[in-house]
Amino acid sequence: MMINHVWLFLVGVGIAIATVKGQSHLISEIIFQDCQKAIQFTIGLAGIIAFWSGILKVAEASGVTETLAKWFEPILARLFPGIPKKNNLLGLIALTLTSNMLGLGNVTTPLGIKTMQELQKFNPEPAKASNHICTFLALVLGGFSILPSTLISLRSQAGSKNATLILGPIILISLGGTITALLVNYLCIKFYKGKRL
Amino acid sequence: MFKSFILISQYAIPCILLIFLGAATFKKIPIYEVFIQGALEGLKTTLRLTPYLLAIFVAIGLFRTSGALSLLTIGLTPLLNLLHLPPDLLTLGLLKPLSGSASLGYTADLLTKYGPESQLGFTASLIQGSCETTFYVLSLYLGAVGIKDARHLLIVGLLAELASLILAVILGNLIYLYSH
Repeated sequence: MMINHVWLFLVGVGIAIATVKGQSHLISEIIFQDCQKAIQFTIGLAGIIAFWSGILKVAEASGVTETLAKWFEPILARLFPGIPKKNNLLGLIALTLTSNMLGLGNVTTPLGIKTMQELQKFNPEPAKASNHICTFLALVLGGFSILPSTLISLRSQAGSKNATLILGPIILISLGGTITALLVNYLCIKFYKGKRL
Repeated sequence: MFKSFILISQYAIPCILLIFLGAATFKKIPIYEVFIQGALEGLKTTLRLTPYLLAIFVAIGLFRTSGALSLLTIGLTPLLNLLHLPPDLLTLGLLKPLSGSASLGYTADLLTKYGPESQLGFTASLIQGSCETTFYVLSLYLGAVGIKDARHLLIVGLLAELASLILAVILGNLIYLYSH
């Protein structure tokens, strides 16, 4: 599987180059520091994931996600055929994509993970990404963005007089990225059925 | 128009929360208990995510800190010169799919060094704003549900990234030429 190879490549090349440069003593230090960073990051993430999982449970129980699902059904049902109408899954997908578009990174991750867990319930082969999961991740990876809020504040901080000049181009570019992602996903599903990539 | 955008981003989260909680009150849901139940599930999810995050942090850390990333950029420099592209943009383009925080830091550096209105600063902003952190998203989202076979998703992510990168460079140059 490809992610295995990518991981091996990053770790292997990293270690090899540090060794060739005669800095092999740094390797254990890097590993120590990055493990520490990862755990610190996870602890930070734990709080926000727990909070939004709680809020989403409330939203589900009160029928909000189901209402959202009804609103977005006309668009999303084409991309995700075969998901029962009376289900909050389409609502969750819509919520994840909206928060991704608005650049709310802290909210997108918990929502996206929750959506993945719901999508997984419709997956006939749990160890393998289903077509629905591929389409959902293609939409996320396309990175369609209408409001990169962190970036705008970064540009203002750097003294930009026109921090928002980037908005229009970013909408266009990320739309291009999303169309590419959906197209590649569609072609792969269609022509490489069953084959491993 | 810009102000309305900023308003949306400031009020999106409070509005979402108020709508959710309002609907729950209306439907007479035991909000507190349901929230706690969901939050517990969230914590279990995070525990399952920890090894994936650890793996990706260490791999990216080793690749960057060992100097492999800068070597890759140096290796590709002749090609970049041919296309009249600054190597800084390639580093950003390679960094972005690996790590969101690292690429954000790198963009901040470029903006301070060259200025946000320079051609390089502008194009760097476009790259940072439109590409997605492919490896992070894939390992996190697939890890959360224990999927081992990602099928063609890595290709989807990387091609989307490449398309955004090319579009960002083209649009960055065009807009810079027109506004100067």
